[in-house]
Amino acid sequence: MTVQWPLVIFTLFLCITSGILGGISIMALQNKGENVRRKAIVASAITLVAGGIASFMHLQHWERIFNGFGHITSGITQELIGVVVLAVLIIIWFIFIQSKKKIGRALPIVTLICAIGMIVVTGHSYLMEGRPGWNIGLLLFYLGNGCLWGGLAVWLLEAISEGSDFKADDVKIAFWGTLIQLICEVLYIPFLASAHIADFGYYANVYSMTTTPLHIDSLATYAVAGPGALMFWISIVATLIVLACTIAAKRKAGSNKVLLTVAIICAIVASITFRVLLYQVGFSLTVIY
Amino acid sequence: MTKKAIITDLNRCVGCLACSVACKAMNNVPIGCYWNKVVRIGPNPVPGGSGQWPDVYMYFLTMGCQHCEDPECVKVCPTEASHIAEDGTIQIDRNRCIGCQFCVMACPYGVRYLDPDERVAEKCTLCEERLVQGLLPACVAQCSGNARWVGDLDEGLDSFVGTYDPLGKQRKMVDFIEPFEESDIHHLPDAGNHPGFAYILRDHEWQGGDDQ
Repeated sequence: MTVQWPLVIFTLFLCITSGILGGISIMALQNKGENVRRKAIVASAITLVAGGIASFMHLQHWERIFNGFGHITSGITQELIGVVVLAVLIIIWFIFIQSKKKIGRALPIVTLICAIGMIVVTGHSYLMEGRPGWNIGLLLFYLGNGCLWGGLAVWLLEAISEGSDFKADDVKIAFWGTLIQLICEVLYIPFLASAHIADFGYYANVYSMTTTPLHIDSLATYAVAGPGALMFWISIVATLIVLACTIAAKRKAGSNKVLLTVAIICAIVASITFRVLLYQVGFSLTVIY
Repeated sequence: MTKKAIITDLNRCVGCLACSVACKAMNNVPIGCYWNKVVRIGPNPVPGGSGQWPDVYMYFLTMGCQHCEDPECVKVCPTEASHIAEDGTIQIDRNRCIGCQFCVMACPYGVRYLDPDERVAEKCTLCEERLVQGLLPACVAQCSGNARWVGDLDEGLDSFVGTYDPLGKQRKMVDFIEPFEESDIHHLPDAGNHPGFAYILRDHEWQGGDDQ
C-alpha cells in the first residue's frame, strides 16, 4: 500500500520517546545520569509532541475527533491513551527533577513498563488480519526499534553528561539494543514467509486491461529480493553500521562523538526504511480489486 | 435479526459491467474509484485437463464491500463512523469519519478508499436508501444476466429476489436460477471477518482459497 508518511514519522517519534524514557529509567535504576535527566525529559516531550503532530497530519478531518472519538477497540484510541500516559509520566519526571526530589525506583520501573507498553500498543494497532504482512513480526520490529532508540538514548545522554568520564560500559546498552533491533529485522522475514496472500490464479482488471495483474507468491521474497529489497537491505546495512559503531565505541575510551553521530544518523535511516518496507509488503489479503 | 446481502450467480454473470456502471451512476462514485468492481478470474486450467485451450475456464467476480458479520473496519474505527446498521449492513457516518484510513487498511478486500473530494472513507452502502424504499440496489436492478440477487441471510435463500419479469412479477432467486448445491456457494477469503456476500459457482473450481 501507499506509504503513509505521517504514520511513519509518528511511529518513529513514539519509538524515540519511549526509547529516551526507557533509557533514563534504566540509568536511574543504576543510579546514573542524574545531570542529564532534565535534557532527556525535555527531549522526550519534544519528540512526543512531534509524533502527535505527525499523527494529526494523517487525519483528514482532525476537527471531528471530538465527534465520538474513543472507540476502545480502535488502535488509534489505544495509542492516544498511551500517549496521554507517557505525557503524564513526563510531567511527573519533570516535577521530580524541578523539586530536586529523589527519583527512587518506582517511577523508573513504571516508566520503563509504560514505554515498552506504548510500543506494543503502537505495533498492535497495525496488526491486521486483512493485511497478512502486518503480523507479529511487525510488532517485534517496533519493539526492537524501541530497544535501538533506548540504547542510543543512554549512549547520547552519557556522552552529553557534564563531567562524564566516558566508560566502555556506557555503550553496552546501545550495543544490545541495536543487536535486538537487527535480530527483529531479520526475524520479520520468516514471519513474512508464513503470511499468505489469496491466490486467484490468472486474473485481469477488465477496467484497465493494460495493467499487469499483481501476483504475490511470497512476501518474504518480495521483501528480500523483490521490490522491497532496497528498503530491506538499506535498513539491515544501516543497523549493522550502528552495531559496528557501538562495538568500536566499546573498544575506544574517551570521546566518541563521531561514532555516536554516525550511529544516530544510521538509526534514523534504518528506522525509516524499514517502516517504508512495512507499507511495501502491506498488501490486502486479496490483491485483485 | 436482519442481515442484508447479495448473492451473485457467477455462472450467469456475463461480465457486462452494468452493475459497476449502475453503481457509479447511482452513487456518484468518482472516476478511478469503485464501490463495485468486476474482476475477470482466469482463464485458469481445468483440473486434470491439458492446461491449454479448450481445457480452461474463467468467470467474472463482482467485488465490493462484503458487509461482513465481524467486520475489521468497524473494530478499527476510532469514532464508530463505520458501524453495523440495523439491517446488518456496514455503513459509514460521513459526519463522524475523521479520515484516518485505518478502515481502508483493515479491509481484507481493499474495497474501501478515501474519497478524494470529501476526504472520508467510502465504499458500497448496498444502496441502503433504495432498500428502505423497497427498491433493489442499483447493481441488482441493472444486472443483465440476472446474476445478482438481494435478500436477508437470516431469512434464508428463499428471501433473495432480483429484477421484475415482463409481467411485473419479481423474480425469486431459488425459482429462477439453475439448480445448485450447498458446495457451490462460496465466499471471498475469510480473515476472521466472515464476509456476508456469497457467490454461486457450479462446475468450476473456486479460486482464492480459504473457502468457508
